[in-house]
Amino acid sequence: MNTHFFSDTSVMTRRSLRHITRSMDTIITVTIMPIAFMLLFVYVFGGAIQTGTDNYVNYLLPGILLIAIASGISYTAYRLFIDLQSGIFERFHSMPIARSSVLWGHVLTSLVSNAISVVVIVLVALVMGFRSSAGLPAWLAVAGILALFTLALTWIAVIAGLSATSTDGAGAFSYPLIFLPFVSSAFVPTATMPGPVRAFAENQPVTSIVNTIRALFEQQPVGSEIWIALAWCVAILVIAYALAMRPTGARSPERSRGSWVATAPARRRSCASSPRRNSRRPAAFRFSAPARGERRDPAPSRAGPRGPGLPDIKVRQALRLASWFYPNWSGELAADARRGIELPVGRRIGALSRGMRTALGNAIGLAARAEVTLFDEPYAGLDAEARQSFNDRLLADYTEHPRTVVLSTHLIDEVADLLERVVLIDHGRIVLDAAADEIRGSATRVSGPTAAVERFVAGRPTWDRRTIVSQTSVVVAARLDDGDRAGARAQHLSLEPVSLQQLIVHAAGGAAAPTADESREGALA
Amino acid sequence: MSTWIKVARYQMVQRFNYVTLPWAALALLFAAQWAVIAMLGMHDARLTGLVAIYAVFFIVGASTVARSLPFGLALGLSRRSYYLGTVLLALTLTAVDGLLLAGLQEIERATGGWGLGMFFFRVQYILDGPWFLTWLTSFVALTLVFVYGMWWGLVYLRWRRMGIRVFIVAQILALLAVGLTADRFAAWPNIGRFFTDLTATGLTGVLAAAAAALLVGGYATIRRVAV
Repeated sequence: MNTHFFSDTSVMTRRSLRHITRSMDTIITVTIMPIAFMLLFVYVFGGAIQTGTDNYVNYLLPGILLIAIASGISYTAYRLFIDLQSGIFERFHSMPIARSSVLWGHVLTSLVSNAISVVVIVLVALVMGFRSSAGLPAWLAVAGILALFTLALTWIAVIAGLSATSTDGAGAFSYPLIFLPFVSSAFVPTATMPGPVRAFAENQPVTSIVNTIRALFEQQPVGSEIWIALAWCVAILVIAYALAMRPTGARSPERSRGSWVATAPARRRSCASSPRRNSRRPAAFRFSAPARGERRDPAPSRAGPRGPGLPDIKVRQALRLASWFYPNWSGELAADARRGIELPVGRRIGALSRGMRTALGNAIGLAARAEVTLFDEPYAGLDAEARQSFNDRLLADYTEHPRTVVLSTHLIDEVADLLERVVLIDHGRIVLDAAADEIRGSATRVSGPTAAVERFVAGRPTWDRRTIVSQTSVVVAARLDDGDRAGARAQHLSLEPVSLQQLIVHAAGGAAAPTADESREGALA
Repeated sequence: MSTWIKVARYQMVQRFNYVTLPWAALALLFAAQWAVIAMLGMHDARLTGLVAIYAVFFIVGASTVARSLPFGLALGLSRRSYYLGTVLLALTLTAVDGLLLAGLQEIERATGGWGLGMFFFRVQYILDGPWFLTWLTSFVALTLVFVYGMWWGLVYLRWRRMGIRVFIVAQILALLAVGLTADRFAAWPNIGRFFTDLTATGLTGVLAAAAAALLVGGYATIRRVAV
């Protein structure tokens, strides 16, 4: 497999680089913090810091570059984590490509993106007064050291990306790395520091790297510092590389399980409703789609089974506290609904499955007995029995306590029998608004011998004509009176009512596009 | 008003976060620091463990409040009543906790620093006056960190990761702007004098003004939160 290593790595690198060109904001966010630090230190604190040079930008720049790299590599961990979680990582591993090329693609991308940030920061520093007398060899040496440093830290990022369980965790490992430069010679000479801090500062990698780069920029002899710096970089690189390469193969199966658990909340429904305070005014209860931004930005959904969006409370508590807010609350109904769907009252609502969460929302929505209740997708994740039980309960309570209930759903047949009025919304446009009874009789499927069918439907509007050999079946889009029905029977034609779902599919764009359902709403009014 | 109390009750369902956690953190740090000092035989040790309760209040403000909002809205609350109810709860909690801190400070004085000459609840300059000033300063400072934390949580809820990044950068830039302006007008000596002349009570006033500003900021943010 090694023969493919270079071509595979180049493909992987190009893929990963494309991610960067598609989201340049990552480069911006990486460069903006070091630049802010540079501005802060040079213009605000600079006057107070004694470094023994007149040009503080010159003194500061090497440390700032290291901070930029330390924060830049956290994106490698982030991207790698996203790859693992979305499953593309395993998909790559299932292909006949060199295994390590997947990681190397990310690592090389990190080199490129960090090089871009470094160049941007150096340009800003030039504007702020950074000057160097260094020649080409010195600049190349600086570039080499920075590249080695990036490489070493990136492999640490790879470990973090492979072992993280959340995006925040994947990014958090870089914080100590970002703050290492603060306890080094990057901002102030170590000689001014108190004893133990100084001992740490003088023996940590950043100081030697900073001193080396600074010496190179100023055309000073670099001395032994450069060897210490290189030794640090190589040591970190080797250890991190060895650790990062170890788990990639063995981890996969476990990883896929982990990622399933982690992505499940992405489809979580959060409960939400319009603000209402008293029952005199129409109140609403609805179940919103995933929180805004969740679909475009995958990050918030990654927070694990108890992520943001749901408080840390139990089902029992959720039902109890809901009762405080609805004056017409029916404790009986809530208890009944809870029993019917076997909600585990002791479980935290953040740990409920999708169906259970829907069930809890339905229980609250029913028990609230608000004047207007809006159920948004009340069947999501529910099994047939639970759906039936919800329908029965809703109908029974509605009969006893008439009120306005809006059911917003994609599953039309499920609610067909409940509806009094149907409003069909297709891509935000109302395409149908009629009483359900009116719609139900408005079309009939006529089937039988082709000649007889044609005679029967002549002059009537029709759609969805299907002919098999000598038999034809067609929908007549008109009300049939008793005479029509008797005539049809005499000719041995069969008449079937067209289901609400089919009528709605037709209304939404015709039989040609039966799946064009974006948002279907039915109302029980 | 009654809706606000209902909101406060709703929040108190998670009373572990609001009541137990801050005091547990404080007790833990107190015990640890007391033990260390007793073992090392130090005297007049000035300790920083008190900061734990502030840290917890910040974290609770940032996490719990934001997490409870979507479900709160599901229960028919308006953003306004949710915010004001939560602030009401925060004010109550910080008032009570401030009183407890003031009481503990008195005990610390009376027992000569818990028998070890320890300074845990007394902090030089800011928390070193009579009990009512300690209460006032603790009340204001705890409210400040809570409201500040809440604002972080709301920014996350509204604009997610990108919002947090912008929020951080904006705060750095704001500090930078203040610094540059002070630099430009050579105002550092005056600023220094302002702070050295400021009494602890005066500083409490400054903190109260900051808390009020943060309250307004959080309110402006919660109105824009979509769930």
